Amino acid sequence: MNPLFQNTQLSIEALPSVAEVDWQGLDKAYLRVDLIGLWFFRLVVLGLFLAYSYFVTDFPAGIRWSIAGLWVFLLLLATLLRYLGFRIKGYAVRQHDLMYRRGLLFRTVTVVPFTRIQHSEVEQGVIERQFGLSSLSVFTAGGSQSDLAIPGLKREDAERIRNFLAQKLASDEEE
Amino acid sequence: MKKNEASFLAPRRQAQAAIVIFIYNFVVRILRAAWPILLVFLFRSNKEQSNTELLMNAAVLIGGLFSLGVSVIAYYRYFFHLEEDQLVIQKGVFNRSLTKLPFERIQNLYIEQNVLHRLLGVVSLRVDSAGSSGHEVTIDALERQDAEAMRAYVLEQKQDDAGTESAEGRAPLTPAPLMQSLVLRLTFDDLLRIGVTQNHLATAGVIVGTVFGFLFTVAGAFEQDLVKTLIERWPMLKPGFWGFLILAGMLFVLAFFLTLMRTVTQHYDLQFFESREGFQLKAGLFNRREASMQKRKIQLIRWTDNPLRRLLGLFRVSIHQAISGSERAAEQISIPGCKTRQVDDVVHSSFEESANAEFQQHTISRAYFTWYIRFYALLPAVVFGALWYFLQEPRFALPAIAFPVLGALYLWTYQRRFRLWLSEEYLKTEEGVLGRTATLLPIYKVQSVRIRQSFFQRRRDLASVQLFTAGGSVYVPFLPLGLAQALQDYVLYRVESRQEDWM
Repeated sequence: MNPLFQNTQLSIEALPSVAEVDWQGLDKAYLRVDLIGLWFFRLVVLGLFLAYSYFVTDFPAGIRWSIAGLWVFLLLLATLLRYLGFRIKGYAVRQHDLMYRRGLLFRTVTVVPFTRIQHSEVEQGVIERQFGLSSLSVFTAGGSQSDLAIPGLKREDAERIRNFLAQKLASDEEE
Repeated sequence: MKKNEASFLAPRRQAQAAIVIFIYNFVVRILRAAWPILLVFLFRSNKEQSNTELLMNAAVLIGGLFSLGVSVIAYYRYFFHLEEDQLVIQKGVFNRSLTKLPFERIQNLYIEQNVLHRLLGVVSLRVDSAGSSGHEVTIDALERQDAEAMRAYVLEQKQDDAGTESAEGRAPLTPAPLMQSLVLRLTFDDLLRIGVTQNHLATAGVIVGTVFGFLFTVAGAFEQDLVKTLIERWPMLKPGFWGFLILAGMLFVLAFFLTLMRTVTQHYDLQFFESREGFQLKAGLFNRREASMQKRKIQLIRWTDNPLRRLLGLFRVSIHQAISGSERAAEQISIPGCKTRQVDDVVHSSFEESANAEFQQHTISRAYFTWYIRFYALLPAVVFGALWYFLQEPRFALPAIAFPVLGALYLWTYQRRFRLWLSEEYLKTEEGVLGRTATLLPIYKVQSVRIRQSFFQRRRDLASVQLFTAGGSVYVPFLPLGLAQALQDYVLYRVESRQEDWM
């Protein structure tokens, strides 16, 4: 690798590296939450389409079933991707920052330093609640794109991380 | 001045002229919402009114008078004053609201005058804060000296804050010097030069959009297809090849003059000042606008040119501050017609030591071309080629050939020209094919870092990096993975290892 910054005493190799982080996987139940959410919505849409094409308009049966088939095929494909992608999803809390990794085909790692966090929220969706899961959202001043949301945390874990962040922020302000 | 300041410490109303401005705003709002209805009302053939119509008109009239009354009362219920470290506004007719805006959160201060303000001899004061879009405050009508006194008060307080924070270990600050030096002043010639070199195609696009939108709304209001009716009445309007060419030519001429006029009116007599702590920008022919901003709140600076402007050596510099949400990106302050010297002036005086920064240059991988050519050149070529071949339609030949040729040329040039420079404290990029955009930001202003790798990039050990600041983000595609990770690690180290006020 070419040297990045000459003229500095610090060597880049010695800096703490994001690449060497141990990722914490999401809770196993989150895969189910994710898939239920995926299937529920898509199946409702499919049902509406079938009802509409059957009762309201005179859709040729061949076209109707090929559309429905394509829909189901895409749904199965999405399920497979979510299933495989679940192992990629993970988060890590370091001393000074919080990070989240996701994406099977397009992998992204987002890191937010604690000093840049504006506020954080713990949320719970309808399906998540049935499994005792929560998601933690962290907001920065960098706009919605730069925010970070970690789904599939146990309720206690989400609260614990949030409290840790709050403590960190408070102690930073005192300094 | 001191007397003025004192008079802001107790809640007070705006200048009387505010009533006129409130009413004017109200009328404009009504006209904007209801002009198609009014148009139909004025031009309909049948003048007789049925009872239901009368009733509806009466309802509209009463509603209108009611809201007019409300906007007058709104004036009497609007109070503002300054406290030690914040601006306080109380307003509302039915629901009272109390807004407190700490000076520390204030990003920009604008003193603005539209034509009406100038007739009435008042100004409006607008205060932009770092919050989301609801968090800006406008005081519609003030005497000019009052507005200036308030601005001076706010800016002085803000500087005091900055002074006390950084005072340890440094020489004590001299009391708030609001001394200004002129960085740039645009003459009429400059304005013409800037106007002529604007992107006229963009204006043409806006014109086409507006005309279609207009026709659509009018057709909706009259319940008939206006274009069809017009063509039926005058068959020569039916577009043919030559008609299309003439229309396009006229459109371009119109767009040219419109952009020219807009540029001249918007930037008329533009003056850009620098003081030790901040900048001030004044411009406008009909609507005068004075914007004040502070250097230490600047998140990043961008400067762009286009092919014509490069010939003249002109740049548009935009100064990005913490304004959250990309939808408000257009509100960032930008100064057209800067020469290289002025760009350097602005950049170097905003960012300490950036003139002496030692930059290391980096380029992006060739694989950028290999990846994107599939979507922007090969895919459209295949689609249009198939249409051409299977439908035997020769008109698909042009896109089938143009897409791969132009696309490849564009991607190749983009990849070759992209530059990333890094120093200990600063990051700079330059990108673009026809026009070029340079971006410079202090690394410690970064809010969050994202690395993204597609399956294609993972096979080749490449990664794209995006750095978010409160004033916009910087995207660097297709860096070698090692470099991308080192950049991420260094940025995080730099942000986390020191406590700095980024805003």
